[in-house]
Amino acid sequence: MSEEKKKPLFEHLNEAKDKLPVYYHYMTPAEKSEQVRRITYIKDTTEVLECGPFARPVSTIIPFTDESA
Amino acid sequence: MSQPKQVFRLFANCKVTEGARRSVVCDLWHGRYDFIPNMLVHLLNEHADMSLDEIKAAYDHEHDDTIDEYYHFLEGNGYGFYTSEPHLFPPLPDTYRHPGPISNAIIDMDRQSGHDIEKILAQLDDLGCVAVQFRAYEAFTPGEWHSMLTAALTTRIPDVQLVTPYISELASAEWRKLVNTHPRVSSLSLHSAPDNRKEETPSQVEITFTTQPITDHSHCGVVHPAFFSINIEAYTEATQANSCLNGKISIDRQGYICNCPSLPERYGHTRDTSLREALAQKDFARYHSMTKDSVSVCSDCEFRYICSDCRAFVQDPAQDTDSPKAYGKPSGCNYDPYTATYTSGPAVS
Repeated sequence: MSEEKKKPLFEHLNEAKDKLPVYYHYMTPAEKSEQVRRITYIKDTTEVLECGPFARPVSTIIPFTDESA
Repeated sequence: MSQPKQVFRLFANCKVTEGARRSVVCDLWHGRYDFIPNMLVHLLNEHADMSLDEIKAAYDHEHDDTIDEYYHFLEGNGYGFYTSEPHLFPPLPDTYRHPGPISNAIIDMDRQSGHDIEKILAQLDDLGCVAVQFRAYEAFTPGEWHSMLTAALTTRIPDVQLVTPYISELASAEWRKLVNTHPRVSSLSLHSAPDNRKEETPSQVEITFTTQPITDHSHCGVVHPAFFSINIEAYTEATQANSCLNGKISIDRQGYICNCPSLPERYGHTRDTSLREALAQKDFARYHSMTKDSVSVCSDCEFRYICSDCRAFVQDPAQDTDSPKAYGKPSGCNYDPYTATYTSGPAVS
């Protein structure tokens, strides 16, 4: 296994932070919340995957509350 | 020397949808919308190349205050701007493309399902799927979910959503631990819970507790503002294709492959049919390319490009309007665009 792959997961996450678009660092907390992307590490590769919700509901079976309307 | 003419332009990410009684202007970048009168849409369309003074003159200055109010609203709320070089600001095209035949999937399951999750997720990954929603109608522990989610680790699927029964013996910390372990999980909904509440994890994943029991697929199909999608991807898709069924493939709780578990058609079983083979079958994508523009009532609704459609639970189109379209309105929608009100009565429960 290469040195790159031996790095602990958190190191990859920290490196991934630097790959965020520059504008992200200028966002307000509210904007960051709106644009939140969680970053994960794909097993056995050095690829970084940006995780985040799909653009629309996959289904509407998930119940909603009045506050979310 | 005269000043160049200033005309009004909506920002490219701001789109207007006209309804029967009123319209909406959607800011697809910031995920918000406002209602505007249909007359303002008319002004934007018919007098796009006129200055504000020219527009007022076109109406013999009888509506100057109203015209000022309309355009001040759009400019003040960040929907548009004045420019002397409108040719530099072309509109955002409505084209939608996804790099694969499938973008999202539903996997329904109970204790008897016995789905080969690893095999299914690998096929979904191969088809370009980016969102998978697991809908469990019987309880699975966080440990069991962990095993299933581990199968997703070697895929490029960035969004996994879980809908599963609440387990009274389990502390919510167990569920939080599951979500924290799997960053792909974007939402966790625990139904049949003792109370309605929400929790948010440090990674801003929302855990929803709801008292509503979800026992089968018939609980789906609700059209409600809580499910509106106000973003470029969803909006452009809705103008070109179906806002629920396009790019979707599903596995029902018995393992049969379908477009949606609530639709009657099945296209083989996962044990002997690949998802790609099912997708290639005649009529699998019969609803993929239909838009709300071909649905009675919905075609007159200002929300038609931001709401979610349903083809499983629909009204008879002949009863909806005097000039019915090819398809009926989702019966889970209580909005009447002709009166701009929500009617009472239950949606699909």
